[in-house]
Amino acid sequence: MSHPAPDPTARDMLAVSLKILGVPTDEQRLDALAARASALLEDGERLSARAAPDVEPLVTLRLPGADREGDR
Amino acid sequence: MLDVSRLTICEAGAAFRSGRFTPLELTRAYLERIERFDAGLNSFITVTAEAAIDAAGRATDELAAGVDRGPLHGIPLGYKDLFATAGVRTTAGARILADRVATHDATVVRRLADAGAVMLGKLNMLEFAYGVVHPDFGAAHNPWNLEHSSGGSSSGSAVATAAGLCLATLGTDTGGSIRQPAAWCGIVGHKPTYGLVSRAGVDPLSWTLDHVGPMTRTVDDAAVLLEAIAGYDPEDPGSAPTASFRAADLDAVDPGRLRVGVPRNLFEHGVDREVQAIVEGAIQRLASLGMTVEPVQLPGLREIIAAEMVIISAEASAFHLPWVRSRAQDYAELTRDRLEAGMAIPAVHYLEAQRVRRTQIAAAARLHEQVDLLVLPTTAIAAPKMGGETDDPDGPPEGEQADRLRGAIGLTGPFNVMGAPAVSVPCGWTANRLPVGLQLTGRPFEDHIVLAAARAFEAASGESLVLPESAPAR
Repeated sequence: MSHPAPDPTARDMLAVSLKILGVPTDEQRLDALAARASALLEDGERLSARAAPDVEPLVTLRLPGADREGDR
Repeated sequence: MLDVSRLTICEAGAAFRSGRFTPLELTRAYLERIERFDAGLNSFITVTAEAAIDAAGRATDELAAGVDRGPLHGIPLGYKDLFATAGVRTTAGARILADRVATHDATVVRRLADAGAVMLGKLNMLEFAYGVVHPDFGAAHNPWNLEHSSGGSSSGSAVATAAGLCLATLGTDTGGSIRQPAAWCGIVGHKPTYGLVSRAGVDPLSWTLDHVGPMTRTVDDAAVLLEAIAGYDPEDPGSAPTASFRAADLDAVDPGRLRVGVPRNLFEHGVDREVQAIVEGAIQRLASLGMTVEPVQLPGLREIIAAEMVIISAEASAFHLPWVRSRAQDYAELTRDRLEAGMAIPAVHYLEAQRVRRTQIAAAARLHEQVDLLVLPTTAIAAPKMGGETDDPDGPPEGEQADRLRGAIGLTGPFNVMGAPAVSVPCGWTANRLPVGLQLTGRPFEDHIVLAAARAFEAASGESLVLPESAPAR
């Protein structure tokens, strides 16, 4: 499969992330994955414009015991 | 051999109780069908014939003795191969887990066993439910045309149900993995409300998007199966403390009083003309049932898909990190690509996606002040032709860089992001005899309303209960 010229920002971001996370990689593989990573970063940028300032992330912290009445 | 061509869970249950045939006879019939037809379909990874015969024998004896555990007692089922089943290999369609034997049952498997269901085996799927066939397992073939894709990731579940190799199956759905294969194989697939059905003991793809649900030949069967598996489970952090579902609640819904919105902005572009025409006909049929049909706009569509892509990619990459570090070469190529690319997502983007998600859920709630249901195609195209054993229904074709996962989840993924109930029901056939699915969605925890509307549509359309030529009745 042929790949377009890799996006340098996404490629750099991916290289740093994989290094921090301890995932072995190489130059050829980074080139091959750059466009895919770039598309995901574009998704993220699109989201920044949409989220209202007073909205919290939809991440629930439910501590043990908090839903005791729901246990059955 | 028993004729299973028009058999449903409800009808089999009635037959057991009238003495027409027993669970043991029915289980033997399905095992014979698997033996006869599955070599060409590849829907099962593991067939648990001996355990199935034992369980069916027990069900037969219990029913004969007047011990009745309810509508699933003695019913032969299959489970996607990422549900833990004690003592049985559970591969997730992956080389990495090819030899894993679970030590316990997933909560839903245990609930179905307690209800007397008979497990026939474990079903083929896309690797780790992430959209790619692993070459070690091969593709499950669409029973309506063996050269066409069965979709995914719950491919084997859809194929086995459509081909009459079991009465029903369980699947999982993170971006459409129950509904898309259900649509492409001509069966009913229901993604319940997030939190209604436990995922404990089910391999995750994306914790905040994953759902477990029924894949059946009729809507009534989906409701019966859903009742058995729904309910709070402290072992699943996403489980809703108030979770419950009763199939009988469908009867309290008057479909003729429902207001249905058609979000054309979701499917005005990129939907195949033939699929579009079939779905437009189906929408007219809903109107003929007395439902009020009106156009609506689901706002923020591009952001919903962006949120789905960011969340599924980040969560899947986090779950798989240890294996990507140590066994990357054992993944199918495209699975590995997706997992490694997902590691580039900044934490801020992930949290923005979860913020947008809350905004979209609120927007959907406002939309549902106006309408009870949304209706749209399940998929933009009917089942496409496969390229070979390692064909990837969602992946980029040769020479294309765009990830087709984005396109594949376009009509189904929004309802994973919003956690809303969504069912796919057969609504027609293309000219080359491939099924098309109609998707109905509703408010969270109103699964009974969604299913009641789908049941009314099904009764009016008569599209269910046909067996494909690849696995005929006799």
